[in-house]
Formats: sequence, structure tokens, C-alpha cells
Amino acid sequence: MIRRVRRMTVMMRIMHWVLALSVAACFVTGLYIAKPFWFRPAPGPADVLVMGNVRFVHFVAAMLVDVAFLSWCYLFFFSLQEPFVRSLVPFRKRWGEAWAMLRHYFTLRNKPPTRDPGIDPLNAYGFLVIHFLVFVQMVTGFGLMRPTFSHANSLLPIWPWILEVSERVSVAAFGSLVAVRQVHHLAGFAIVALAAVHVYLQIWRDIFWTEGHISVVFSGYKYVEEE
Amino acid sequence: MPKCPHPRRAPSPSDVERRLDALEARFQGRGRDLEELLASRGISRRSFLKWTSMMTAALWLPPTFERSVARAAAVATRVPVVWLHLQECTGCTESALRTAYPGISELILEYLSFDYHETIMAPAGEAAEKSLEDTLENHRGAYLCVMEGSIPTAMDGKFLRLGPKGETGLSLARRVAAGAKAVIAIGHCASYGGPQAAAPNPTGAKPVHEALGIQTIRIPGCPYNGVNLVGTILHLLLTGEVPALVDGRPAWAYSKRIHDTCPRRAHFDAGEFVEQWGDEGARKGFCLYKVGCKGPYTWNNCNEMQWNEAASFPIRAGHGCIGCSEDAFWDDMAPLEKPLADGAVAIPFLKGVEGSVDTVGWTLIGATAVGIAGHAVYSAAMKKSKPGQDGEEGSHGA
Ligand code: SF4
Repeated sequence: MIRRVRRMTVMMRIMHWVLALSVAACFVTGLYIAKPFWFRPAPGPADVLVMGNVRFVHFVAAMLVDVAFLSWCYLFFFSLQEPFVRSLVPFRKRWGEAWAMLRHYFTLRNKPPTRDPGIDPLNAYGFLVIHFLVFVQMVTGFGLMRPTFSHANSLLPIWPWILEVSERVSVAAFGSLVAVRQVHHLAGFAIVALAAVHVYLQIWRDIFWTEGHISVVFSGYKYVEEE
Repeated sequence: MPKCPHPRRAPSPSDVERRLDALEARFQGRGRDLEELLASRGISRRSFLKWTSMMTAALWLPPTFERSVARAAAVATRVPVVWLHLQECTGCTESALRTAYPGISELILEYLSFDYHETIMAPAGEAAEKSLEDTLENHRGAYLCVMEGSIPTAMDGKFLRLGPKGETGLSLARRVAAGAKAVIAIGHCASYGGPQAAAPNPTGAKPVHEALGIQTIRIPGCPYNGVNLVGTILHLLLTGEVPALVDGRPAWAYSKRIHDTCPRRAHFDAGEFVEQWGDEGARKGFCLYKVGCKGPYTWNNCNEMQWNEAASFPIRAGHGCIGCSEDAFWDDMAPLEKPLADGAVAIPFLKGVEGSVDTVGWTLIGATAVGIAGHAVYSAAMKKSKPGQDGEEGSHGA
């Protein structure tokens, strides 16, 4: 008999895609901002603000990341359906389960049971790392927008204290604004590397488990064969 | 750390006038007379008044203070100044003195009443020492102390010895700072340590405020801009107070990002960059970001004040900003002619190995890709060799 297992609520799926798309947008635009690779020879007076638009996309996508991240934080503890935190505690037990899953990835044997509700702990720990890196990006990103006295900063009128707090925290943590900038750059790569692993694992599960794993992120369900 | 500064309330005009009266009375007859100096250089009263308006605005004072600023400028050439050369190259002094056509700021700097200034003072030997000691004693609490250069602290400061008694820079600086009305740290070295404080910093060079544990007014730059020193001195004379500071630097001069006020900024936003020195973009005045401009990380007023009587400044002249008014720029902003993405960072867990952030990042992505591919091939091979196993094992857990 095939049973339908609910894995992701509507909110989780929305957040997942908002995060995925905006992180991708941030990465590509970030590469351009760090080292503008596309040169537009000016035919005359500049009428297209290439860097200006790329930065605009970077900032808007970053704001979406912030919103998705904060709602994720909320649902992490307070989701009515299934708070993620349950996939992480009790710590000992979940750690054991994560280890079992890791072994399974390399032996292809002893597939750990599908948790219902909740995601498997290895995944959950992985997400925790990714979200921590996203948090680093938020703080360093706001820090780099350090308010100047000229107030030449679009965020300053809306959200003044966040810039100041982020700047202080990130400069205190990494030493200087330049170091903050380098950390912001590196963490972007780390997020993309982890996201690649994540995507690969979902495809791997879809192939090796034959449970329709990929459809989880679209429909919210996967299908488990039961005896 | 940096905070968006809020300007203090403008000082009360009557207080300012009273203070200037007192200063004029106290230092009468010392130093040179500004009016004479201006006349001797053929600088008209009109240019001088224009300059006072500029300085008043720069110091964030209302226009009613222009008269007071003019008076303070006249006092500035009379107040005793002790200028110490510590661990430095004298570039800051040179940049102020070597102007072919000194503007009013440079003129005032040149004719500050230096009671002690190793490069330009007339007395030598014993006489020079005496002049220093006399100032420390007679003008205690009233003289201004300007320090140029960092202070080596390793080996008890023995890397720097000065004068006939071989006094260490550390001890001399401590002595002079103790009785000064204010200590002004000039240039990057005195403000942040300069190249001698760059890793590995063999002499234990420290900026003045760290070496002596005192508050200084930092006027960084390599070299600093004379306008910023004169403005700070005027502020001290007018109000008797240290100006509002950001990161220890006068907010009126150092609270704007170079990148935000840059004349090439439109080209940055348009995505028009100089790719190579001397290319078409360079001729058209495009943005210097890709040839290493550090304007986005640098706070200074070069754009507004410019250099050499507002003739030009680095970005306008065609070279990117090197970030010389920022902490640790010798370490952080290198290589100066490449964007930060190409700058070297220490690679975590590999001691002593450096690479650019981009190299590290792409290596990380590459390693991940290799890992994924390896695991995919491995899984496929495992499945082939033991077909069916995963399916059966997998089902009973669910
Ligand atoms: S030249 Fe430098 S400061 Fe000016 S816009 Fe370009 S990057 Fe910014």
C-alpha cells in the first residue's frame, strides 16, 4: 500500500522558494557587484544604470531573504503544524539519527525511518548551518551599508538602528569593514556550495528511495510504500 | 565603533568671542601676524573672507560665525604648537610645506607657532631642547600637541630614540601629551599605525592613542589633508572642545564615504569601468572600481576639499582611492590596484597560505562539485553491484 506523507506545509514551501530564488539572485548579482564582469561600452551619456540595477536587485532580494529568514525563525519554534526544532531535540537521539542517515548515504543500506511529521535530523542540522550563514550574510550585508553622515543610504530612513547594530556587531566580530566585506563574499560561496549539496541529496533520494521525494517541495507530499 | 554622528549644538557666539579675547590677550606678540602673512603672499582680504566662509561651512557652523573663524585663524598662528616626529616618513610635514602655491590653509599650517618641530625649527641642539622644555613648562595646558608617526612599543620603545639624551619616542610622547590642551594625531601612522604597524609589525608600532592610552583627535590620511588639521585647530580654538568624532576622527571631515560623493559615481552606477590603465574608459573618466578603487570602504572629505588648493585629488586625477584614512589599510586594502575580490585573505585551516576570496570561493564550489560527482558515481556503482537492496531495506522503516 502506498501512503501519502505530508512533509511541507504551504508556508514552508513558499518560504523555501522565496529563499531559494532570492539567494540565487543575491549570489549572481553579488558576483557582479564584487567584480563587474560585464562591460557596457557607452554609446553616449549613460542611460542604463547597469550597476545601479544590479545593486537594486541585490538589495531587494536581500530584503526578501531577511523576511523569509525571520519567518523561518518564527516557524522554527512556533509552527502549529510541525516546529523544526522538534527535528533537532532531544539532541542525543537526533544526533544518532543524523549519523545513521549519513551512514546510509554511503552504504545505501538501513534507510532510517521517515519521520512523520518532521524532517530527518541530518537535513535539519544542514539547514541550521545554511540559515546560520544566511544570518551572517544579513548582518554583514547591513553592516556594509554603514550609515554615512550624508545619509546617502536608502535604508537609513526606514530602518536606522539595524544598520548601526549590524555594523558594530560585524566590525567587532571580524575586525574591519574590509574584513566584513570579505566574509560577506566568502559566506555567499559557502551558502551556494551547501545549497548544491542540498539539491543533489534531494535528487539522490528521489532516485534511490523511489518515494517521489522531489515532489515534496512542490506539492508538500511524498509517497511511502508500506506493507 | 562608528556611529552616525549628530552634530553638537552650535557653540554660543558670546562664549566664542570671550574665549578668543582671552586667547588673543594671552598669546599676543607670539608667532606671526596672519594679516601680514597674507599681504606678503599677495592674498587679498576678499580671498581670505571666502576661505573663512568655506571653513565655517565645513565645520558645520552657521554663517554668523564667519567673523569668529577669521579671528580664530589669526590666533592659530600664535598658539604654541609642539609637533613631534615619531616613527614616520615626514611625508605629512612635507605635503603641507612643499606646496608651490600655498593656499590659506597651508599658509596657516606653515606659520603655526611651532615651539618645537624637528623639521623646520630654527634652533638646534641644546637650544631646541630648551625650547621644548620651556613650552612644556610655560604653556602647560595651553599648547597644542601634534604627533606625526606611530610609536614603536616593542623592546620598551627602543626602536625609536630621539634627541641628545636618546629618549625613546614613547617617553617623549608621553611627556608632551601630558600637558597638552589636545593631542592631534596626524596621518595614518599616528592615527592607525601606518605601514610600520602592518603585519608582522616587528617594532610593535602602535597608533598614538593606543600606545599612550589617551584620547587623540585623529586626522588620518597618507598624507593627511592640511584643511582637516587647520579646521580641527580652529574648532579647538573656537569652542575649547574636541570636535564630534567618528572612529576618533573629526566628524565634519571624516563622516562621508568617498564612494558616495565621488565625481565618477555616475559611471559606477552605469556599470562603466576603467578595465586597464590608459584604456578608452580611463580617457572618458569612467569609475576606477575594477582597477582597485577603495572608495566604497573609505571615509574622508577628499571629494569636497580636494588637494593643493582644490586642484585635484587622486580619484579625479585617475587613480583609485587607496583607503589611506582607514584602519589597517596597508593590510586590508592590498593589492591597492585590484578590487577587493582579488585581495589576499588567509585561508582558514591552512596557516600562512593566502588566496583571493574569489579563489577560495570557487575552490569551495569546485570541491563541492567534485564531491557530489564522486558520491553520485559511487552510489550508482553500489546500486549496480547490489541491486534491490536499497528498496527493500528502505521500505520497512517508513
Ligand atoms: S571611482 Fe571609486 S569612489 Fe568613485 S565611484 Fe568608482 S569606486 Fe566609487
